[in-house]
Amino acid sequence: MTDRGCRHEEAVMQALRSGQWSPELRAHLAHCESCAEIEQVSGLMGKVAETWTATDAAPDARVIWLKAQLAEEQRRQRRALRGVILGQAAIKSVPAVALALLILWIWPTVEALTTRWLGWIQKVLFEPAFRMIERPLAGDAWPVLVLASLALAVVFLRGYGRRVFR
Amino acid sequence: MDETAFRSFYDRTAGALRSYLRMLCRDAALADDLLQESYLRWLRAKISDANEFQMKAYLYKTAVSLARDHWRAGKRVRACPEEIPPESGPADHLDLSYDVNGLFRKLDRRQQALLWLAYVEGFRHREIAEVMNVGEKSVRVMLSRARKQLTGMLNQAGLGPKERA
Repeated sequence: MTDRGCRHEEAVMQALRSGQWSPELRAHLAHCESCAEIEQVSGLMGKVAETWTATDAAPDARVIWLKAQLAEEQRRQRRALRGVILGQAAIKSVPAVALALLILWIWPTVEALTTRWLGWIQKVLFEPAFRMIERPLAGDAWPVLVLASLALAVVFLRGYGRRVFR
Repeated sequence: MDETAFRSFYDRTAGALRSYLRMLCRDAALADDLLQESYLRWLRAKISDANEFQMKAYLYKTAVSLARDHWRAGKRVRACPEEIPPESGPADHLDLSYDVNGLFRKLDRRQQALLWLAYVEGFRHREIAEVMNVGEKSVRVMLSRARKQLTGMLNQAGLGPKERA
């Protein structure tokens, strides 16, 4: 007998289930170790099954049926709502899309304005800063010095305030 | 599928599936939860046009999968190692079904499921293969090993046919 069992295994199992044994199969069972083992284990499993057989009432089929109907209804509603949700999202995105299209439409104006603002920022902040780095005591570096002093003062006072009022 | 057809299928299958789930989970409440969920999924799958075996196979497969998911989620039920005490005397003094059950529980869950499906539910190898997601030939080999292991343990415990004769 190997792990592959016997080729009559299924026939023996079928006979065990139905209780109908052909004389040949009965004769085979008498000298086949594997099939005898099947018969033994089948009997034992009957005893094992007895210990797990529930005596209390099983969950009601109607409850399961109703739960399934309810779940199906919810799925149907979700499917129907999916279109509405997509529609709402589309409506919400309309202003953003319109703004993007408007910017594209008036792009030459936007570009000119942006360039002008960037030029002004560069003139007011960055150029004096570079000059101050090159010549720290030059007269036209005062805006940067004032701004830097103010920033330091704010940082210092916030730290000091936290320590005092903690 | 209408409610009457479902009720008829449920009445034919629920008892056996419930016992199987109780054996797998060792917890009656959990087994009933999984039973309900298995039927809910079975209804959702809308396979009522399949034959009886296919419907049953789907149901058992779903039940096994749900039980596995439950264990994987870390909600393992407490283990029930019902070892036969070494001082247990001759088998004739003990309740045989209790002892066999104790030995049966010593097999790993896969072997327990295999033996149950084959010898309690009466599933064929092909059917077991489908439920357990393995090849039909593997079922034959695994069943043979499980049988050998169980009978070996029975003989060791003095519960084999020779010892009892």
